[in-house]
Amino acid sequence: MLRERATSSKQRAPRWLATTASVAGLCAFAAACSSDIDGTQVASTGGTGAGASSGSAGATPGSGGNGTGASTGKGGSGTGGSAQGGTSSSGASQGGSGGGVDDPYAIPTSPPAAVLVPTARIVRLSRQQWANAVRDLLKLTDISEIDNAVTGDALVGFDNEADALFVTEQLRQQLADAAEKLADKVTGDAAALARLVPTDAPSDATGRARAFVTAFGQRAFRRPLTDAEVTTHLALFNQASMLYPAIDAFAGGASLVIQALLQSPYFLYRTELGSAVAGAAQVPLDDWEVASKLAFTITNTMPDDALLSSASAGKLHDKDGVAAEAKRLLDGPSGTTGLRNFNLQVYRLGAYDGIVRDPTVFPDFTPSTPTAMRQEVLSFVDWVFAQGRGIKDFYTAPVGFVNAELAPLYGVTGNFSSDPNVLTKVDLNPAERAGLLTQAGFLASYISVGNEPDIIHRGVFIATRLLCKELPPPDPAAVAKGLDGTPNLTNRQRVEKTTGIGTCGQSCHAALFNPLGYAFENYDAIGKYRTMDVGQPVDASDSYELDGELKSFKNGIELSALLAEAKETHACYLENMLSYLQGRLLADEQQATVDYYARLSRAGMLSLHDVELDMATSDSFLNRLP
Amino acid sequence: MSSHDFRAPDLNRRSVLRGACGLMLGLPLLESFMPRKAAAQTAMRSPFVLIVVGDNGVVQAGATLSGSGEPEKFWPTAMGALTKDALLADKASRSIGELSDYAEKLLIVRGINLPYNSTGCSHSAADAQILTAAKITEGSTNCKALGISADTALAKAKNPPGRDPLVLHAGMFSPGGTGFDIPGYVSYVTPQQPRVYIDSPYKAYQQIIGVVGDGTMGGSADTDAQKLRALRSKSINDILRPQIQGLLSRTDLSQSDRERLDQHLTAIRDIEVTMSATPFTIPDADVTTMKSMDAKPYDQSTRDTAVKLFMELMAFSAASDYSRVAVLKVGDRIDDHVYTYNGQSAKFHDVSHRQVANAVDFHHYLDRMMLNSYKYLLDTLSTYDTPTGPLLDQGVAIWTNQCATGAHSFSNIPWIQAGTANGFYKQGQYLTVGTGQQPGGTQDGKGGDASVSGVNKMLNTLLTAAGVTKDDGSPTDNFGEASLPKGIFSEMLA
Repeated sequence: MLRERATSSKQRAPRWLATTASVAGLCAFAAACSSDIDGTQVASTGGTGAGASSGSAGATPGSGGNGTGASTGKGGSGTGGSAQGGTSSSGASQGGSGGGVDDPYAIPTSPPAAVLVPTARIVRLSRQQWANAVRDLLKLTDISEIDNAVTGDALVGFDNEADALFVTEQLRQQLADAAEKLADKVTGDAAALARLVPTDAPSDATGRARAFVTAFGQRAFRRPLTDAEVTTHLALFNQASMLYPAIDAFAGGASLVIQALLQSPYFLYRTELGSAVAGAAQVPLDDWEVASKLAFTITNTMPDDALLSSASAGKLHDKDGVAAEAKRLLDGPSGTTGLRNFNLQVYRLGAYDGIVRDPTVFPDFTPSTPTAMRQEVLSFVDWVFAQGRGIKDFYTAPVGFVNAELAPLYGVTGNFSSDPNVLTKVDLNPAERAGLLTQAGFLASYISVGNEPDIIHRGVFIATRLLCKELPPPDPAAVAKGLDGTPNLTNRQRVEKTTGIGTCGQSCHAALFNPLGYAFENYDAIGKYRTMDVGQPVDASDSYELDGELKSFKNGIELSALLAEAKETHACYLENMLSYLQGRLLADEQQATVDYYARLSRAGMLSLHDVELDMATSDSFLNRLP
Repeated sequence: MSSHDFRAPDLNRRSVLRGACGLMLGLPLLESFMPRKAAAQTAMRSPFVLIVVGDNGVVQAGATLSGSGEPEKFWPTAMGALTKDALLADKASRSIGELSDYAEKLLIVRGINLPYNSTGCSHSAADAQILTAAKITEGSTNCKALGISADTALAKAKNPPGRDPLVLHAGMFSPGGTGFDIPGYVSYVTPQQPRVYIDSPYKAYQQIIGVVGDGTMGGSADTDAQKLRALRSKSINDILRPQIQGLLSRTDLSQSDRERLDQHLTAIRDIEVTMSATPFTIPDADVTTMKSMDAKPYDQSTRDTAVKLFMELMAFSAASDYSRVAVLKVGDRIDDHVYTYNGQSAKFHDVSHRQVANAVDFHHYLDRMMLNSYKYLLDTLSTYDTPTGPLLDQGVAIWTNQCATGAHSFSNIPWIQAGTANGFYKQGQYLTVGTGQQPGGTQDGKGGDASVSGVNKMLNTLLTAAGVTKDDGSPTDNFGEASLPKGIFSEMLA
């Protein structure tokens, strides 16, 4: 009965999902005092071991020091050159030139040679991509009732991982039901149906039907229909009198065609099926394939009319044309849709729905507060992107987005909306706030006994999600016990007495994640700033190994700054981001690219905008293996 | 929510049969509507299988992560015959006493082991094995099964073609969760492909009644509409199939691409015209509750309600022949639901790891709560009386757990079932299979001894009970990892 799916042995799980095998023994002799290492917030995730900088620093040969030839501004990197000659399907990738072998921070002057790896060519749209594409294809604004009846996918990684997306029997049925309801919604509204018919369609029934099938079909398939496909769908259209006898013939025909197209594999999958030239080492995607890939990557939906027009006009054959469209999308109203979806997952923003607080202890915390907290993070990411900023700013910018509920948490006064989705940008006290880790969402995510902030899980989140460290499973011989309950201890003291230095957790908790959590002891369990804990001054200082060097900090602000300067922080985020942008697990050969971006990002020379633009115009994005 | 309150069908059998003859000649009649003589034959229909999988283990004798001993607070005090009086006597000290009302219908089995070691999160490794008996991939919080699950095998063999098992989830994380924010997959479509849960009772309800009706329809207008809908579906599918077949005819696709397309092609089904296929209904008040929860099926205050609604749907599904198998996962990869016991609130998972005060008693309290939920399923099944007799006797309803203990033991997984599956199983018994390996010796995600009592044999027994045979028609004895010892637990058979 067992049937194994073929997978590439060289694929790498997102670093926060990687197996423990690579660092087995990391804590081999360390007792994990807290047995909930496998807990919701503590589970081991991907990455390399403690203190090891991610990426492959040694794979960046070249000489010279801190070159500055790479991108420096929004949209600037990597759009001009071509690495065609360097394309290879195997072998070690080469790092960009200019980086010193011994200097992990050296700035490469050119990107590593492009590496093509085997990729899926039949890629089912993610659940969210399907919903967005249906909405946009049908030119509707609200399909929530129909959308809600379609379940998601059984995933363990990013929601767009091609190898994990199938049309199961259950999903096929749901998609069929949804297609029927969507068609009814459109064809039951004359104005809605009219929006899908070309304005220059002939007035006669036959000509109008053909115009509809041809135009709507092209938008649905994201390529022109073949003549045979037009004929087939027109034949279906013409069955309306029999299959929809009670409604207008055009509406009935349109309904049948809409249903067929919405269930077609050419709608449900993004395909890369262009013909290969015999003997060629790579196959360039055709214009239509590029348009779809660009749109779903950046905007998480189907190509808009302008992008389809560019494809139709053959403007996506070269990188300049692709870059122009990529920039247009990135700078447009949906430019951060894909990025938002990525951050929603990598920062666990969906889990905010599970945050609850005892109203007698935290009366300011209401059921809508988690929504506002999630919206703040997304707004912040949008702001970083729009400002042409990068990963460093995630951990340094004293900027918040608040509504009437969040403002008091930050000590901000003013008139703000009560709507958790309507937030206002505010400048926060830089002595208390610096980026994501001092925003309410992260700080409220973890609560410990006694309504105290959960030091351990805050630390684990940073170690796993921000630094891609892999934490070992608990030692079976470890001692499980609750935090020390001695009266009048500070929250930190309780954790230290149970898992800190001098306890059985010295090698694991105390080394790998507790210090990261101590740094945020100035914030209570809903993110309010505090300086005292049970009558004693808060001690948020400690030290932590970053990029292989022990770094000291006094509080969360200083730790955030250190994280912003650590290459491993950048490498972790970028490895996850590249995995998401490519909709697949990264191959080992792609680590040189991660390292290249991480160096630039750490140096403040790579914005989020840069990453997406560079990725979208790269050879590995625009070509595939035969 | 009170116990299941099913009402008389709006259509009597005479009117339904008249409709069948008049409008649906040639279409398959549903067994539950057949006249008495035919209905008698339905006693031979395949037993249903309903499985509830909980999280975080139970309080039973064994060792904690600390190595200290745990008291026995779960199993009956005496092996052998189960009686109501005996379980009532156990109730003060053992969780299982909560099921005393069903003592004579229970088969309680100890000694089941999960065979394969965890390489990271033991909860994830356990989820991947409990219904698959398969080897698992390496992974921290996200390992997967390298085989299909028993519900998949059962659905393929016994459900109408194309009808997935009903797989439900009452937990925090919706489908599509990432990393450790996953619902804890126990059902597998193919190796390494977990099946997505339906996480909303209302969605599940809609899916079921979309096929079997809600017990109120069946007039000629409904049937005519269904006929047209079926014709439309066929016309559309006649276009879709060649499209996928055309893609599959390419020689330059990878194996994984082909697998995706194959699965899609197999999933395409034409709509079958059915009349209102069931006389049973879900109470209107419960449908209203489902609908109100649909926007956000999980929150702290409504999960127990969701569990009960899901159980009603499992029973409804079995009664109405929607699916011969249904699975409900309560909790996620771990169960982090916050419960309150004696004024103390804590996450179940933290309780299971004894990280809170009075954790053993707290966990014991939660075990009782979970078994009372299971009792609700049995209560609900007991309200159904079908033309072929009490529904509960026609299948088997199982409560099990991903782990044996809060310390992630894979040895002595709790396994409680009710119903004989048309006389296949013993009932009113508490017995040990295999060596009855105890928790403690193989702690914390270490595979238990599968040489004689791996969960694969339990699944073999279950599939055999449900009438799923090998290709040659002989009883299933080889489900799960091929290298595990084959066979069934004959000691469970009547």
